[in-house]
Amino acid sequence: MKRYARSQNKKKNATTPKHNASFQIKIGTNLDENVDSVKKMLDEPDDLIVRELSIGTDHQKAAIVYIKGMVDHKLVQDNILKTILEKEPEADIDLSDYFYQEIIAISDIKKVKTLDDVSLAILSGSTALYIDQTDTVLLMGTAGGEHRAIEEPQSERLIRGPRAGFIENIGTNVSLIRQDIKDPNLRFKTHEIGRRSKQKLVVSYIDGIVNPDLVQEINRRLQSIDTEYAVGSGEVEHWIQDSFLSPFPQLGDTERPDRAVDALLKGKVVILVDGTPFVLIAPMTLVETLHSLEDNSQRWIVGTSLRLLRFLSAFIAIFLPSVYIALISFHPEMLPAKLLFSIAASREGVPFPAFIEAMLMAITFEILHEAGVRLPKIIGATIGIVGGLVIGESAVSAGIVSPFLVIITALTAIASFATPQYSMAISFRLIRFTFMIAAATLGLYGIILVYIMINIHLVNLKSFGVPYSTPFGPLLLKDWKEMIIRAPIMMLTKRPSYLKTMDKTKRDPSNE
Amino acid sequence: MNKLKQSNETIQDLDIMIAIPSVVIAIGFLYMPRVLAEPTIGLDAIYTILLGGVITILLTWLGVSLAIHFPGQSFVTYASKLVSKPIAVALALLFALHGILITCFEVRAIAEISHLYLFNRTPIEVIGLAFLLVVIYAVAGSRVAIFRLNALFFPVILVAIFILAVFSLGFTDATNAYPFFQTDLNGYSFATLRSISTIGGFGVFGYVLFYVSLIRSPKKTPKMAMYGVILVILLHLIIFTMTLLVFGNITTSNLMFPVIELARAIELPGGFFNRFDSLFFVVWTMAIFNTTVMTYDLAVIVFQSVFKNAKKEKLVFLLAPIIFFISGLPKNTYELDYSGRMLSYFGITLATGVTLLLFVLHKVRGVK
Amino acid sequence: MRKYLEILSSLFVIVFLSGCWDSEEIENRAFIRGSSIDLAEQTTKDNPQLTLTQQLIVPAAIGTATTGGGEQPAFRNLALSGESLMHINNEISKRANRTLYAHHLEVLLFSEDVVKQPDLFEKLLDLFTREQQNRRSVLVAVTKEKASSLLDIEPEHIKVPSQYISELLDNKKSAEVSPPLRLGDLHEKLFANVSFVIPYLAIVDDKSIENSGVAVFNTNERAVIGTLDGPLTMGRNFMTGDMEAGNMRISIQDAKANIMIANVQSSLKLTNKDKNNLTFEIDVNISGVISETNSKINPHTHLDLYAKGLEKEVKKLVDKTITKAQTDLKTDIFKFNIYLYGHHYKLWESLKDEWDTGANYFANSKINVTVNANIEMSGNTQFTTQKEKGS
Repeated sequence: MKRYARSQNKKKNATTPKHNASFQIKIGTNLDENVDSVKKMLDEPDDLIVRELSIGTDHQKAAIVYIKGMVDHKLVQDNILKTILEKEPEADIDLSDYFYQEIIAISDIKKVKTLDDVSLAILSGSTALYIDQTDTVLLMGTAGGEHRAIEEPQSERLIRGPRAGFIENIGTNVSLIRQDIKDPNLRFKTHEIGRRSKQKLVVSYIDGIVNPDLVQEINRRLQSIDTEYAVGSGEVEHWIQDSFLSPFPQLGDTERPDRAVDALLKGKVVILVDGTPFVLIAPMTLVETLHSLEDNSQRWIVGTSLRLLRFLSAFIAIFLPSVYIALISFHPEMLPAKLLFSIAASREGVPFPAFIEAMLMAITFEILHEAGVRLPKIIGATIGIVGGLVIGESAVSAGIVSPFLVIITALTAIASFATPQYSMAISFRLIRFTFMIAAATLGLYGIILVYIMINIHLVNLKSFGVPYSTPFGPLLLKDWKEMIIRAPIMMLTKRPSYLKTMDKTKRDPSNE
Repeated sequence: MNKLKQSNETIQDLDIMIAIPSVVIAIGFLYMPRVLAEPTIGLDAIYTILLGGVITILLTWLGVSLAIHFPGQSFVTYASKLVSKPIAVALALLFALHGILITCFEVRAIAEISHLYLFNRTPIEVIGLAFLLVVIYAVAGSRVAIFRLNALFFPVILVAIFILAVFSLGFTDATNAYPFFQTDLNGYSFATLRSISTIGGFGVFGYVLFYVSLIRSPKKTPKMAMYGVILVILLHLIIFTMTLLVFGNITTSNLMFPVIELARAIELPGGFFNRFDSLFFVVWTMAIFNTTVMTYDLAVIVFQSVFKNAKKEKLVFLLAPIIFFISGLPKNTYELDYSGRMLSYFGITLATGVTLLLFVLHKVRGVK
Repeated sequence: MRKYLEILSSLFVIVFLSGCWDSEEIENRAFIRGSSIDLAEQTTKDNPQLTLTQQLIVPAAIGTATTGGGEQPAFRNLALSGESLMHINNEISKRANRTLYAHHLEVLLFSEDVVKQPDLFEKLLDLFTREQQNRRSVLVAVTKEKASSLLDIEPEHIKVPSQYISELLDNKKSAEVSPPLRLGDLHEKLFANVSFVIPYLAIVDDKSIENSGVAVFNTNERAVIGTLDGPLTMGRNFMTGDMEAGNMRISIQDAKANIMIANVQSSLKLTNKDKNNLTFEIDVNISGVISETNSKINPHTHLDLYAKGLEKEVKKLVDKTITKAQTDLKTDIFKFNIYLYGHHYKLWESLKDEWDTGANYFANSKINVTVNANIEMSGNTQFTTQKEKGS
């Protein structure tokens, strides 16, 4: 992977637009020409609004240019248009300076002189003010337009936790984080990715806590991204992850500001990408994908139990069907006689070997799941009924699968949904099939060999220099109280040591 | 990045503490109660475990406290300063040979045992090859990752031993503990030798000479290594006592793999798993895997330090067919047993000899 | 490089794993639940022919909640005769449509005439302990009748006879039986060269079997040399402490009473260590509860009277047992051998070869039994018939 990153590094984002040169790159002094240039560059889209005005007593011509839908209309109306039209500037002063300093009631304002800057700003939702006879354009940050309200995150629900979730707008997302951490050391470093999309990407961390090497490495990797448009944060993740062959996600993703904040305070780096409510958390370890913020909201006994339950369910989700196959086809001696006979009786007449039977059910389930996700909510419920009742029930009564397998499949499915991180849950579901194949060929021995192989992969895998198998290997017992169990809050005085943070303790040093 | 990476890319003191029991505990542990019960009467072998354990602790301590004087140097490098370079290389190659042979032994043994307890018709070669491939995959990875694997699997093995010990409590018979102190001197000395062999894991304790010097900043390494050996001794004591209390001395001496038989004897409550032995053996595969990876890796370390230009992957791949071939050589379980015994004598002699030799030379010459 | 290695080795493993040599579906296996071994009719003196009966489970007939079971029997007995068990087993495989699978074997029955053949018992057991399939918890018993006929006894409430027998052997509510003998224990005892007892089963009628008494295995004869009946077995159990519960009928002055024994503890000591005059002291401490009495004496106030009666009765029984063991069976059934091995190892080493054979130190040793009884409670009813008189 690193080699890829290196090769990508060489080609830096080349952003020269390949248009015919029928417009001027440099801004001239003629208003009409200037406006024409920008229109041409953007190919006169319908939503490009050019409002021409005349200012003051000497009727100097000017124009404001923006894209409908990208700007906050009220802002343009009240703070730009109105103020300009109401004022009567004296003659022979520099209008652009005058507007810049006195008139326009928008704080985010700057002067530019090239068309590139203007067009880019317009495309990002700024409003441009052209004034005749000047080669300076005023750009006013009016970005706004339509975006979704802050809602409860769909993919990660908590019972006890804030109801806010990130949205597609990166500005809102940044402010959501800012609202929670009012530390002057909170840093947001903006990158731009996407050769054509020009998406904003913000790397966020808390200076003084985070390991500077980590930030440096993340920035280095972000430089290597060479794409036209990053499809959400997922594509960013794929560009900067350590191993592309791994079935495991090496960055965390979350829709929840509180989770991002929690990660920041641990000393991690959060990467926000414009256009997606999912932010990335780096680095990530395997056990952390099984953490939920709920563990921290609940009292420590409950939190710890829930966490252990989640570990257990991860194991069930991965191993149960393969253990079933191994026990049925290879090692019936492990089953107690009564259970064995009743399974044997229920399998009497099932035409397939256990492996085919389990595969059949597992694939059916995956299809059901996939279909259920795609469908609208109301029809989604129908899929549940069709899947659960019709297929399950009638497959049993038709004698295609044994009732035990239906229980196994159902339990596996439920267990796989207990993993809080969806990207990890999918990985688990995938690995399950490997285990099933192994179980069908060498029984338990095959399962353990594949298990060992996955562990070998895990200990060799790193997420930004942090071993993925932390805190089991390397064995960091002091991190266990935060990562494996959730010890009482008084005991959690230190930040996780595996992150090698600058500031190691969570407590106020003056209190110690 | 460098700091974050580096601190995670070197072996720590704690790793040595875990590595010692995980490399020592393997096949030998499964028949340990038999070989210790054979020359002794009743529970007498407990004393020989303690005695042999103390000797092993001493030897390990000597090896570790020698190796920490040369942080970041390979065995060949620092041994060359103590003895001449050709001798250092020769000694290292002997260790490599030992590593390779132990790897072969473990691969073959796991194939034989799974044939005994899990499979009937699956060819032994296939079982062994599948295992060896997984081992190769691990050895081809980074060296630190191997230590991480140890840390990952060792708790599982501990839990398995713990479950075995707790659930066999119900099957113990106090009369099996008697009589006390009836073994003759010959029996004691024989059992002590065997205790050193099994606690020293066929002489793999000598491997600390190679691994400890990889630690960049050794602080408490000798202490940690001692804890590791003490853990091994404790596990031996627990399982030996439980096996003897359940089966009695005479039956234990007659069981091929008393520890697996112990797992067969107990029944797990709850009615989900009837038999613990298959499960136990499957977990034990991890223990054997840990050992095999380390012994294989030791051979690779030696060849890496002897042939400086060779790539690690190449060495790993070149050794693999040799190991597979040698592991197929014993014709039957008796020959396998015999070769295991020979290997153990070879290993103990080598490890003890080299440790003492280097330690004394280091003290005498005072090489820094 | 390592990445390709990862892919490569995963591929290798998958390719090589695709063997499935040992895969055998659960419904294609025939589970053996009980086995019995008899002497076949064509047996000659030097050449014992055996009959092996394997009881196979018919899972469909055992049934689950959904399938219901039905009328067909839940087991199938396959029997064949031959010279060696392995050979017979192979022959049986030819008749079974499924792979025979002995991991769930629960009971192993030997008919009396088989185990009375010298050395035969041990040879037969070798197969069962050497085979990896058998658990050490398989219960072993000797049967009075043909062992195979016990596998046909089908009580009303249990569908599989083997299961009935195993539950029967595990039931510890009677004092007149031997504690269940697991294959593993048996194995240990044969290795340790000590004599021991084996549960003894007899058919009562075509729906029930009785577990009563024990068969006595003499280690030097390498065969079962006789049996103890129920009461004598109880006498033995008093001495060894192998008793969890039981009833004892005693007589006191005017009538009979019944004592429910709650706890028995015995301690054994060797007081005279001279080889030819070995003396064993056994203390038996019994505690019990009066479960029935038709005596006119108030049991509540005369508990010691009942205790005396119990002591007397137990002593009588124990003496009878000792006589039987020393003169008739000439076999150590009281676990003295294990005691001597554990506590007087040197002595045991010198006499173990003629312990209960030849010079028979056992039969010539003196066994003194002291019985102490304690009645804890007179039961829930205090009086029988008499009114307490305010005298």
